[in-house]
Amino acid sequence: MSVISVFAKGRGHAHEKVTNVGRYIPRARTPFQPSTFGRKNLTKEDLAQVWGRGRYRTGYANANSGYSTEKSKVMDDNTVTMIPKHELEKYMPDISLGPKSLVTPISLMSARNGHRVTHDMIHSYDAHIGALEKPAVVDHNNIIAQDNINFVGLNAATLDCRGRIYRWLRRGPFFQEDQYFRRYVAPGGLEKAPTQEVSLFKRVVRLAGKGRLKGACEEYRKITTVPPVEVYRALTAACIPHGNLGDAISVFEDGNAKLFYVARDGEVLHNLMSTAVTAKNRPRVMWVFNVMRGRYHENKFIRAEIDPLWQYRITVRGLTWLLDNGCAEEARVLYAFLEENKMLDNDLQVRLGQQMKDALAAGKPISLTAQGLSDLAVMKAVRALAANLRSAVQESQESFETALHESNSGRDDGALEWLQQKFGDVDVLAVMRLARYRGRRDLFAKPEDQELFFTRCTEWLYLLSERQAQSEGKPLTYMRKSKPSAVNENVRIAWVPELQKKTRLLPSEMGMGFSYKNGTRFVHETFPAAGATLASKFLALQPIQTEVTAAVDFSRLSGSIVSPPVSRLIHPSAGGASETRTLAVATAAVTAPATEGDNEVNSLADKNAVSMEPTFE
Amino acid sequence: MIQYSNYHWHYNFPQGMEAPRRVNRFKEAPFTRLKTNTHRYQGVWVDLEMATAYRVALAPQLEKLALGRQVPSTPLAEAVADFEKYAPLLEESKVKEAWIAKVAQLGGLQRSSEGVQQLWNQHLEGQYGVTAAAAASPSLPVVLGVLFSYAASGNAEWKPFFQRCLKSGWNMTPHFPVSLWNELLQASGMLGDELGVILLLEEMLDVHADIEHLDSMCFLKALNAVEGQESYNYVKKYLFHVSEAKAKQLSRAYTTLRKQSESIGLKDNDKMFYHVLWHNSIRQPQSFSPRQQYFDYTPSANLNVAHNSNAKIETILKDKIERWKAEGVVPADYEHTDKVYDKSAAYKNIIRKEKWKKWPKIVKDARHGYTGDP
Repeated sequence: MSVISVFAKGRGHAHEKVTNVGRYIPRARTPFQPSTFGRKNLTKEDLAQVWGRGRYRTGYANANSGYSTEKSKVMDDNTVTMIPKHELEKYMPDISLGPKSLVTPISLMSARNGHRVTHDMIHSYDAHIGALEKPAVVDHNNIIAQDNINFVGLNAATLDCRGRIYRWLRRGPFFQEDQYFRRYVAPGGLEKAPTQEVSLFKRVVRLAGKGRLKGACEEYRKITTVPPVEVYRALTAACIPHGNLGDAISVFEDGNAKLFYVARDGEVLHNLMSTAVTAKNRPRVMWVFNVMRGRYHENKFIRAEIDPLWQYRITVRGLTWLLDNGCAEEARVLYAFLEENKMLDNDLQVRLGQQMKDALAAGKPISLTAQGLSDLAVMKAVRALAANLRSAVQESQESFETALHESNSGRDDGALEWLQQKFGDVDVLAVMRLARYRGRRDLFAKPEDQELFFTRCTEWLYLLSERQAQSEGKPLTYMRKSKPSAVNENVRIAWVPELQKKTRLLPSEMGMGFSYKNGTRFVHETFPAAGATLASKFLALQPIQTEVTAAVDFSRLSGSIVSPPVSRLIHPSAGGASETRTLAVATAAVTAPATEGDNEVNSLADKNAVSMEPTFE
Repeated sequence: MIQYSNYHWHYNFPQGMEAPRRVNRFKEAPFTRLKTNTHRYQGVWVDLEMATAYRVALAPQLEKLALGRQVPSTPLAEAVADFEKYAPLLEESKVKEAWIAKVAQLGGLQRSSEGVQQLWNQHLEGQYGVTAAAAASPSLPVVLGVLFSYAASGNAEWKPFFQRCLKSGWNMTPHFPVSLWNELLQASGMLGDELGVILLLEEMLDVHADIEHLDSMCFLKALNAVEGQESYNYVKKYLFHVSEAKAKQLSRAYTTLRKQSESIGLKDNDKMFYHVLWHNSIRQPQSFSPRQQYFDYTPSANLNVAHNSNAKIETILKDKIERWKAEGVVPADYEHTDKVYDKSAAYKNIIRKEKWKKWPKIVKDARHGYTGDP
């Protein structure tokens, strides 16, 4: 007998249907050891035998483990007979609880370093470590001490075990939890996620509905599978009344990217938006809006797009709050979104849709027409109020604006057109419809509310209309063009109207441009008349610099440019902070009325300038 | 020891960075994952292209359909009956079309097409026409939905419908998602429609469908149906369009599929199975396993014919080639055309000149090879 083998017989693990064709294609083997006889090639009997070994005292190959099937054992030539269990129980009471006692709940997984199974062999949730022929699956209902049903444990000393132990030791930080979640809890994503634990879900919803957020969250922690949307709806709704924004956001985030975007739902986001509004958190309002719009990944890849109706509701919830609090920039973003997606008439469509639904139930034909939309009662009411709104707008204009406005306030028929023309980039009717409800109060209902409606609407129109904002801007002062003077870098020769009288050139043609730095001062430069003195003949001409303001305030000038420029002579010796001088002067010129003294000084300076202008001809 | 040796950096040298590495900067690997993305929507998505007013008006009926990602348990017959009841009241055909698309999608998700075909024939066939072609083309959702339900339920109607979606017809195939291609391939494969499979494969290639991310099982169910020689040749060429990783995945999936083939009612196609395995074997990098490859190799360098030391290389080569031909190492019609420059001839000429020196006689022995000994 020249052949000594450990195992008498093995078995192929591949299916016959596969091997009968596959063997015609040579498979490269390990060069130095072409023939492999691994764990999966063991026969069932051999495997069962091998599996009891290598586990110190607990394996069933050990006679004292209690699981041994041997009848007797020889110890130093003494044959010891096994005491059967029923006899043992006479003096050692049996307190076995069955296979359930070997499995701890999922909530303890992280406390137990990722394990649920308390077997003496490590049970990995990975497919490969415990794999025999098929990927390893841990059956939590049938864990037995022998582990000879599916052989998934990590046996410490058996055939083929070394690489598996290495793999186990090289595992990642969330190896067990991750594999458990992916392979056991939610293997197929949201579509195939199991919704057991119905009573637990109901309890969470019930508690949250009562407003017991903390209790609901405690129950939420016990959930092991992917909860349905209702849970998130209830939890976020419970956050609204007290504005628990942080809680609402983390509840949403928990169900969003982690749990297959379950929480990415219109109602959940609406609750979130309401919470952000209650908490008066402007950036979070924008964040919810942004989340609602989603990216390609959520909208097209995951297909968790928010229903357009909900998109409208969420946006409007944010938009009204932003407008009420005067956040023009953000409000314009939200409004632009509505406009871009043609959602401005969504409220009309919903109202019409309700009517259509009733018609369908009554068996009447339905259709969606522009006429049908504009015939709705809301539209009629809004159009009736347009004239009043126009006068409200005009009043508000008069209160702070001195400019002339069109005096057509007597007529009613053109009111809407007038408004539409004035706020050209905003749909006035849509804004009026939006402004109608404040919370749940209908502002059309009572006259005192109507006042509120008009002021509200006016404000909103001013906030939303960018074109209006541009034309409404306060008149600013005009900065002078200037050119550098020879003597001092910080002193620049500014354009003043006297120069225009003389030259007829434009400032740019005289080499002047806009330049202003922190220390810059603007002057009007003249030179003393050259007399017949030695000093004027041999010494340099000393320029006379008269300081002028950096900017001209045209609003303070009367209609024509006859009057002298608004400039103040500021002598360096006159005191005052020299750093803030220049622009402070400019703004002071805007606000404070010019005094007589100023005018005198100006006129003096002008006289000097005219008389002392050097002539180079 | 190793660290501080001459071939590494000694600790007395300044311990700086030798050279900056920019491995991840100049040639980035695209992100691929070994496992499928569990977040991805797995069915065929059908958009609901309906005005808000209609959505509100039809809300009770639409709620029964798959608006979100979860498949409702409404029986398809009920959805169809709803449509039949309320459709006459709808005056816009676009709305009807959008609704039919959703009903058909529900059918697809539930893997049945009962009533879907009837809906199509009754309401949309007149406008668009699968059999008698009309000029108009339907919206994308309804095409996706109807085709999905046909394919998922294994309805043979998928083929004329699909042919109408080609470039010459409605030109919808570039917009098909991968999941729809999966369903179509599976349907045609399970129906045993070989020409349909070829049609699909060809079209997928033409519209640049994402062959890499096709479901291997569906792909293989289609390939399994290919029996005829021409189609087989086509598939042979086609397989070179999939990547190396995908080829491997295909061969593995095919072994699984073949184990299950009885339970899912698939014929065993040995030829195609062999070819997929073979294709994988040639696409994978070859590992050198010499014991396997040269297991029964007998070295033929030792010829029985002994050549003496003066034999010319041409002669030896000629003999060897004859020998090899006899052994089958080279083909029988092999002709050796290369000329060999015989260096040893020149060497021997030198030897011949130096006759005063005593040289050992060169003997070539079959057993010992060349030894210096006589």
